[in-house]
Amino acid sequence: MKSSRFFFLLLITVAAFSPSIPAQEISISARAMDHALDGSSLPVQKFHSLEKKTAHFDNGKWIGVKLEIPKTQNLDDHFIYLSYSLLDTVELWATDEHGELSMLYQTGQAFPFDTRPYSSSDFVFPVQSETYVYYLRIYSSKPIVLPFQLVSTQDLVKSLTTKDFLFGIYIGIMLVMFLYNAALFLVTRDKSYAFYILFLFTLALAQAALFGYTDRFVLANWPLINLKYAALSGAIVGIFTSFFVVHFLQLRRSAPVFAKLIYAIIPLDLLGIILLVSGWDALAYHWVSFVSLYGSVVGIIAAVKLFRRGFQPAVYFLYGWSIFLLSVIVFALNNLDIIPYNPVLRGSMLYGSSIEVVLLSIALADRINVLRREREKSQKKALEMTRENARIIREINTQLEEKVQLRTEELQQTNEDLKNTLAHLKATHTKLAQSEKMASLGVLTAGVAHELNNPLNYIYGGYSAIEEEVKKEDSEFDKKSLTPYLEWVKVGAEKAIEIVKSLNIYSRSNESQMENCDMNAIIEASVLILQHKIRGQIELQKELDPNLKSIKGNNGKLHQVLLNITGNAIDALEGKGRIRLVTRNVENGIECVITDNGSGISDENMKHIFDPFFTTKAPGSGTGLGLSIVQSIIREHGGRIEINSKLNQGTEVTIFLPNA
Amino acid sequence: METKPKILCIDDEEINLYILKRFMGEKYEIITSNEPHEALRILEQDGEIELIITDMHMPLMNGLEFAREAQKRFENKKIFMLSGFAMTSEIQNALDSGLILDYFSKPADFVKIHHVLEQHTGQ
Repeated sequence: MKSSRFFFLLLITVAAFSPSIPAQEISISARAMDHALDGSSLPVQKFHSLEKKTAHFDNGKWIGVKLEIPKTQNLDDHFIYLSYSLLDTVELWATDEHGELSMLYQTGQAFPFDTRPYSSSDFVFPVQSETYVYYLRIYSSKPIVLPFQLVSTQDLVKSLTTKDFLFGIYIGIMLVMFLYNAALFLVTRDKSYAFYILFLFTLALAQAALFGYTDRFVLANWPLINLKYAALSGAIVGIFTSFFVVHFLQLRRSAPVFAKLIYAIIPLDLLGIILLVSGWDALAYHWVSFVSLYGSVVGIIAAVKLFRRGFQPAVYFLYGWSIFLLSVIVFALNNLDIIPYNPVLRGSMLYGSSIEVVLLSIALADRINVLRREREKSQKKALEMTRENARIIREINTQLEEKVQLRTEELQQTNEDLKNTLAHLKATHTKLAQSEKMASLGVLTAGVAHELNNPLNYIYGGYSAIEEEVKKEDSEFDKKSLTPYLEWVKVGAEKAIEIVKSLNIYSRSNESQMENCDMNAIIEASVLILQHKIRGQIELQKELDPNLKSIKGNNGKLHQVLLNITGNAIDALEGKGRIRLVTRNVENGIECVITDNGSGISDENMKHIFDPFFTTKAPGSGTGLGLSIVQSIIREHGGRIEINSKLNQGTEVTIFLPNA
Repeated sequence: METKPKILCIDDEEINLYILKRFMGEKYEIITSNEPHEALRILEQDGEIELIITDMHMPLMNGLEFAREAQKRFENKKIFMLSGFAMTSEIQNALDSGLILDYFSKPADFVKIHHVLEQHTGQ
């Protein structure tokens, strides 16, 4: 920014100290020809006077100008000075002492630079002593503006050095801008800078062409190229300017229509170059000028539009471009003689383009600032996001910790609950096992009660009968008559004893596993107790091996097993069928087989048959623990229980008990 | 001569039948059977039998099954149950439905049995 401002100030200073108009002590009367001249002859009579110091002609024509210097003018150390560079051919003619017209100089852009009498970018010719009338024969493919001056050496030097100085500054500014932006391009790699330096470079060359410096320094010995160079450089500037403008204003994104309109310059300028190469130099020059005008107008409109939209760089672009256009207009008006010719104004394009490039450079620098601000903004945003993320992560971590804590507590609680539940279950299991035993006991007591009632009936009946006999009035006491009643009492008592005995086996609350157990007796006792359940058409077959070996175990528990399995068999028969009870000695032990031809067990139920709480009985009718307990009792005895069943065909339960 | 009412007594235990005969025989003519199927045949042959006392628990057919069968096949039978079995819901239902008229538990209380039978026979 600071350097840009510095250049701007410098430019203003240069403008302020620009040279004053060289003294016009000597007036020039010039005559322009009515029509084109061709050939080498110079029909003097066709020249006519020009009142002004400048002459303006259409291009593409030969023109002739007669310069008449007043006789009062001192010609020593004076020069004819054409402060214009774009002339194809310039011939200076004069009449010699014999009154003959002869060509003194033939030069111009169509000739090598060394054909000029002086090494100057403008045309300068020496005035010959005592010669007051000169003829200029000129051809140009460009519009011609001819500011004629007769100047003293001092004024000429002043004028030329001022021009060189100004242009030197101009080139200096352009060079600085070029290097500055080239450096920026290398740093930022922003294509805008690349287009900008190309634009600068071609613009500087175009200006150099316009002011005759390319003739002098670059294309001095290539007149053919030199001739076409002004138009060519204009076209090239146009092309690079369009690239730059589209890129700088970001038109493709913000105003694609304008981007297309500006890019249209490229083919148009290429067409201009084709015209130039084809030899249509004059047309090409006009064409390129027209394209430049078109491009400038479109560019200005686009910039205004974007400026209104608030696109910041457009402001600089607008100022720079406006100033440049203004300078072009001033230059054109100056050349067209609409405003009086002024050598200072001649440099307006230099000032304009200088200011423009500086402003554009500022704009580009501003773009850097914008980019930097954007980057800082995005970095700040990224930083904020990172912080936010960190904060969120912390928050989440805290939440997670809290959740973990909570879950741990919940798990501990659940664990505690499970422990309690397990303890409760164990207690319940014990209780249920007890209740299973109690249920068995219920069956047992009902059975025992019933079985005892019969013998008691005998005893009571016997007693009652005996009492009656004894109390008879006649008291013919006949011992014999008492015999049957005594028999009743005896049978009843015996039966009762038998029952109580079998009850004993079951109710013995001994936990010993080392009792001698007679499975036959256990089976008999169980059958006795279950007698009341065996009703209807149930047939009971007992095939008990009288030589069955006794085994070591717990009578009560084994009784519970037999009671349970036989009870199940009775239930399975549903009042009709056959139960077979078999005992036999086998290798290493004994086997009890309880078979029924009842309802059987389905495969599905068979899977769960030993599961605790599994029951097919109605709720309340069974604990579901029976077979589970049976299994554990048999395991305690080191035995095996095997159940085979077919649905609707019957069940066979085989119990193996070791005798070791 | 006054004819004694007939009672059919059914029990699988022989001694119980003797006891019934000993204590009921004075007032009633006691016909015994230790098997329900046989008892049904007796009822078929002797239409005069009106009163029946049956045990509950017997092989092949229990007292209630017998009562049901008897009520189905014959009319106007007055059936009583004498059993060592505790009163069950099954027996209670039979009482409620009138299948059996009363239930006596063993050991038998013949004073009560006589009393109840008198009420039912109107004697």
